[in-house]
Amino acid sequence: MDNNVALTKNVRLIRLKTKYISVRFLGSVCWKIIRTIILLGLGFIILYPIIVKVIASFMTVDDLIDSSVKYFPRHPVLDNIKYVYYKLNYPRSLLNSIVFSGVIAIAQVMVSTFAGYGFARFKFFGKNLIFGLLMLTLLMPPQAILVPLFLTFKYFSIGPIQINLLNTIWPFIILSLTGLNLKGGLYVFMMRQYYRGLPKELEEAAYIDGAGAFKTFFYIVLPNGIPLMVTIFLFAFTWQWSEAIYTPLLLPNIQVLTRLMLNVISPNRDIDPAYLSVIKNTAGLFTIFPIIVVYLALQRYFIKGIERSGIVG
Amino acid sequence: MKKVQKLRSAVLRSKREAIGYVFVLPIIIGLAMIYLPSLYRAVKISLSEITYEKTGMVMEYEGLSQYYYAFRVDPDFIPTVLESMKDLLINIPTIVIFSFFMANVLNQKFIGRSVARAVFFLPVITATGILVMAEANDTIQMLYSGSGKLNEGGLSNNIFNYENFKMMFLNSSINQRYVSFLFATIDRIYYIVTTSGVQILIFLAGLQSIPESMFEAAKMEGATSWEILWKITFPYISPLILVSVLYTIIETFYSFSNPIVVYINKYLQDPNNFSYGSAISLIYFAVSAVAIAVICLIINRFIVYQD
Repeated sequence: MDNNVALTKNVRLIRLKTKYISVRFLGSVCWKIIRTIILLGLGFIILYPIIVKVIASFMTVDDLIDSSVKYFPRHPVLDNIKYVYYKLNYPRSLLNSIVFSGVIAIAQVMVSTFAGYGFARFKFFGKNLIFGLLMLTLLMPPQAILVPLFLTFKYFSIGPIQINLLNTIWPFIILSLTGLNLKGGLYVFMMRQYYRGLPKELEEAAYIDGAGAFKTFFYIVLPNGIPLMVTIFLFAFTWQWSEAIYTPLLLPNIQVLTRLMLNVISPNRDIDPAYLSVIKNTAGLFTIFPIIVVYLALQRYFIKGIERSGIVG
Repeated sequence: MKKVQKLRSAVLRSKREAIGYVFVLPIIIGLAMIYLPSLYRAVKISLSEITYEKTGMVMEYEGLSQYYYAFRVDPDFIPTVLESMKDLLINIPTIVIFSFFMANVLNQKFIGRSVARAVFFLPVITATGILVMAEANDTIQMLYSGSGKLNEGGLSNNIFNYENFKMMFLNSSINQRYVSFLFATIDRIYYIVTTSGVQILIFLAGLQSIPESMFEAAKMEGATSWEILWKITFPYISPLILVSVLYTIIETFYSFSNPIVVYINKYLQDPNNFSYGSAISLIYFAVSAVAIAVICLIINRFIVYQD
């Protein structure tokens, strides 16, 4: 009996040994350690500039030059924050930016859903040419048509009437509704790929039941695309939020965050460079904070949407 | 009877074709009314001299003088283009490899995976546009990512810091080209990590679309993880490599850490230099179109398409 117990103990020990002292197990432990180090290190690299922004926003210039101060400012002040809050015209410009980016993002979602479905499901003459041209707009540096766009919207004409559309939201709405705004082609592409992957049977059933193409689109196709629409909304919203190529030229005087931040961060001879840097970082914090909140609220859609986007297949 | 049917189906087809046009109508309008005229206008502007008078802007045809200036006179333009192309050549492979690796890591199961994912995709929204612009050449950000604090003499207290380490390697007998490529990569770790958010997303989605049965079958046959990576994961993922390379290139057009973008914007923001700005942006377009074509051709040879 005793012998038997000892034997089972032995067997168990050998099993444990083979389980935990094998090359495979050691390898997986090593990999887990390396993985943790990589994730922590790279995560730190990503978060560090934001942390530095927070630190800098409380610092005085003296603290910045003092080499004994590294992370915790010796004389934390609220002056920078107050100054930037005032300079960015904060509550007002924040609201403007939200409305502005929101409206543009909705326009971009609408047009990309509509056109994406058109490209995915219909055959018509010149489809490939139109799609190719749209992709060309994506592969072309936006700087190349910046000046003509500026002129187009400055002397925008509907029939005989000529209006100056600069400093209004209209240039952006027009660009978004025609799929030409920032990365608009990318969203159309994503939507097209998504609808191509969707089974045709649903729509065919609707057609047989007597629904027209538009009815089918609004009742069957549109609801199916909602997850990807949320993803595109997020992309469009956050990229419009910090967009700095079209905005300075098309909206020289409107009170949105990007525009005001450009004024704040541009080099100025009267300001001490160190102080300017403090201000820059504080302003960056003010601009980044709202979109981080939006992102944290909706971030699970980022992965879900891309998974379903069909960019993949 | 047959004729009628044929006619009816032709009518139906043309009706459906018309509906197709309705769906993509916004895009057609945009291309025809805004985009192509703008492109034409950009070429025209780049070929002329702009002067301002009381009545408005006057354009005078001048031929290729702006292009001549860009190629033969301007001392900064060609070096800046070359620099940004060199950056692109280093960035593309590093970003693609890095994001493929990170997608694999983030696809594994571990504690805190959702937090890690959230952190890695954060740059998709935070490292864009004006925020990059504000961070580029910023004193504080440079100080904190560099070796230490701002000292009066500008000297660091550490003897063994990164700069010295770099010099040591550069002076050693190892081939300088490889060493400088290595350090160029290290220097841009922050850039690479912050620009590969979307690419990681693309690869991650791709990884999740590989059927599980593939891995199971391979494991049953006794394949090691290394073999699985090369024989299963890689072929499935390979079309996405092209997607992420193209995305990387597009991203550089908007990036304010790209020297040529900064250079072009400098001219475009000055109304007196509109035509030169247009000329150099069109040249940049031509150069990047050639680059994109070459890269697509090369990558297409390595892609395994499923169908």
